[in-house]
Amino acid sequence: MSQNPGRWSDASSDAPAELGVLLRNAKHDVPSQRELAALGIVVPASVGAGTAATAAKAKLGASAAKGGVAASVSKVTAVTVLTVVVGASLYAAYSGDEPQRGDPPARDLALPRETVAIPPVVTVPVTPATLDVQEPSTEAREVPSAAASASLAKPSAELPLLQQARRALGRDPGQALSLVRRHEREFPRGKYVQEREVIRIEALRRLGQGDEANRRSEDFKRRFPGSAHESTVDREGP
Amino acid sequence: MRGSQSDDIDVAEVFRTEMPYVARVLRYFGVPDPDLADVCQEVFVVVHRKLGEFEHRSAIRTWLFRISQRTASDYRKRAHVRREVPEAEPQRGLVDDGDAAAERAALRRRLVELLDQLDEEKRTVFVLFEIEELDMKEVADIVGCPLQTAYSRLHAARRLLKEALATSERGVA
Repeated sequence: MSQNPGRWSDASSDAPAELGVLLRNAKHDVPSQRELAALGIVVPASVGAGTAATAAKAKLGASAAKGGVAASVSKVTAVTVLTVVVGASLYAAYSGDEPQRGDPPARDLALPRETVAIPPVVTVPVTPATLDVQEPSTEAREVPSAAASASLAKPSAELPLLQQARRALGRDPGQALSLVRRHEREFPRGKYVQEREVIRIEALRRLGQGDEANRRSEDFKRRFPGSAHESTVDREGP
Repeated sequence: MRGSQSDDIDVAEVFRTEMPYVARVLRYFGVPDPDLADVCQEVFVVVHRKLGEFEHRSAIRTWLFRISQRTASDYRKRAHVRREVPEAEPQRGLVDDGDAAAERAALRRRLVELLDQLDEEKRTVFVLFEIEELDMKEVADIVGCPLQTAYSRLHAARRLLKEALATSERGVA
């Protein structure tokens, strides 16, 4: 409805040339997982496995606004634990698909790299006490840590598989690629097809298969016009 | 936009897929790399706290950007008190991805330097519209101003950036 003015990153805009260049660069400047890791921003965390399942089960639901789910979500009281909890749930998702069925918490701790740094000075303008924490349905707390991986793996092994692929990108793009292919076989009509293709393209680039990556990238843009991932797959190869 | 359609969004997946975009927007809002992890974490703490309030009226990324904007704003106020000049950033790309990454980082620093000359209101509108490519209505919604105000901020930002660029070019010459 609203009419947007032309954007300065468009080559045809009347932006000063340098700003056009800077803005086009910025559009492609979505940090990779490696760069995020280098910045200390890592989503999967290893702490707080005990509450992992809370987050693992947390859904953003339409009903959430009405307070049902909201209560159980906000029940995760300790503020600093929250991010960590999500990380743990991710880890739970991830480990659900691991071939070796080890002891999840132990493996957790063996991955210090994955720990989200809690800021030394948490100046988050939030105190647990101010949260609208009604006593929730028991749902939020009933889940012990051991249940975490099971509860997530069941609804979908799709996500864990892709997370595994994504993690492999940095150290072993070949493995990432083979996990992507496995995802394609097992979930040809999955929920995360776009994510799969993004990982595939990145893996191909890292393997030096720039032509194939570019072909896939073009293909991606045709299949998913306007995708939020467009600028990611668009990044030119080395 | 993906992410807006579902009433069954996996929180962990949201974090996973959106984190890079949150990191980018925070960078261009002016959060320097050394503080980026902390501020990102604050964003996601707030996200977690407010999950229940998310009503699907906007795309999830729009919602995340709104939280990012407020968090960055708080950060800037604190940073202003804490130290006059944020720490110098490393000169090369953070990850040794070769020249392309270093080039991208250099261009980013240049743009951030120019954006630093805008006040927060104009900068926010400019970044959301020009870099994140949101619709102007979404931008207005995020910053909480009338659409017309958002337009005038955008135009003012553009004018000021042109001037800043001209000045810096003159300085170099």
